[in-house]
Amino acid sequence: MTTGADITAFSGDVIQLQTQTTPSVVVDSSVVWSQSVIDKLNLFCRLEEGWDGYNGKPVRLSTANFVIKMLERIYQPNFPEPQLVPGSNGDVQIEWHLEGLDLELHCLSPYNVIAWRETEATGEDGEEVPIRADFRTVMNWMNEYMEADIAPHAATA
Amino acid sequence: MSTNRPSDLPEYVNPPITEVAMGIQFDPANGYQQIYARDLWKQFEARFPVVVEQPALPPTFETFGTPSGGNMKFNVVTGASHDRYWFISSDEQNLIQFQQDRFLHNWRKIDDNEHEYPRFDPMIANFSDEIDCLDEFLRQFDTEPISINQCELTYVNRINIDDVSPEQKIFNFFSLDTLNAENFSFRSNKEIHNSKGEPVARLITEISTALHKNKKVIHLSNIVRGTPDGTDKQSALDFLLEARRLIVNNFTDITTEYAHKIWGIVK
Repeated sequence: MTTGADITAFSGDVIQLQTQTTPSVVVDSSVVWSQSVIDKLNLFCRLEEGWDGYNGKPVRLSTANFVIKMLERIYQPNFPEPQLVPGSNGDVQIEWHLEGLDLELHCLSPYNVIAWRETEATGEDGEEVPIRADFRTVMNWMNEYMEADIAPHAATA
Repeated sequence: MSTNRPSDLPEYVNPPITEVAMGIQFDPANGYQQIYARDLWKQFEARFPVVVEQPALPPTFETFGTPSGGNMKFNVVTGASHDRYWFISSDEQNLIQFQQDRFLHNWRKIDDNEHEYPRFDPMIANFSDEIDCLDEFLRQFDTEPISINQCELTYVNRINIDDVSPEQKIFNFFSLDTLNAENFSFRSNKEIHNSKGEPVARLITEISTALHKNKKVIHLSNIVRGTPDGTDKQSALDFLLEARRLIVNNFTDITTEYAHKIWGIVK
């Protein structure tokens, strides 16, 4: 009855008359880095305690899954693969360092993300925004970058 | 646990509810392994003596940005696989669902003529105690208290079309007769915001036709799913209480006064 993760427990005596249309898994053929991201997150979840030579903890499974959901939400075509860096407290840093934009998403735990960017406009201090579930600010940052990156090419076309 | 049902919340003597499910998603406890699930079941075995294994539920997070199902979907990072266990009561009405990162309690109407809906307030009081039991169990693996990152409340209604005369409508926004369709399905998502105006949850409404005992019925599901203000049990319970308010009000808003009378609206 519910799409996605169905938590209901009633099925036997009810027959749906129309198949619910569920979104099909669409993988853009140009997104070659999705598996790379998955592989890295799997690796981070399997790090041993003290992996950093101190008290480093493996990335928590729930945090890794939230990173997946976050990247799915903010994904933009033609945006390159992010760098992923495990933190020592089970957290993950997702970073893009591009000409004209440094963008970092520090996922401390599910629904606990610090987004930061540095551009020419922000200066070295950058701009930081805490995020729970709403990634529209990050998407706006990415769109701004994409439009600024495209505009010079459009002017010369 | 005191729930203080809002005095202005609509109430029905005979609502068409066939299932209610309330649940939490939490960080898996460090050191927990599936083999220990048997020890958790022991805590509930007296009330839930039957065990069934089901495929695990994938992690879910309600996030906001581009519309979902857009350009990309990733595979879920699963780590080691853990089944989902159903601990079922003898009369099959109630069940607890457990996996390493999910815990739910379902009530379902087994026999159409018996077993009335027990009501939300006793259910959530029991669920509160059950979460305490879960937390105590998990503390043997991880000294940190349970960290809840998502909550979910689902109400499923089954409306017998024969209960409504052809001239009357069940839903405010469309008529079955006007639609004149063999079958239909409908789904809407609505953002739910916290006191700071941040989107934190969704109210999902699904309506579809189905067959029950060879009779055409309408299924109406209302689901509220999202993140509570904090990661502790009380934050989760507060979320579920608010979710109940949203669902009952939505159910009332989208159905007609005629339908309300059939279901015995009290206020």
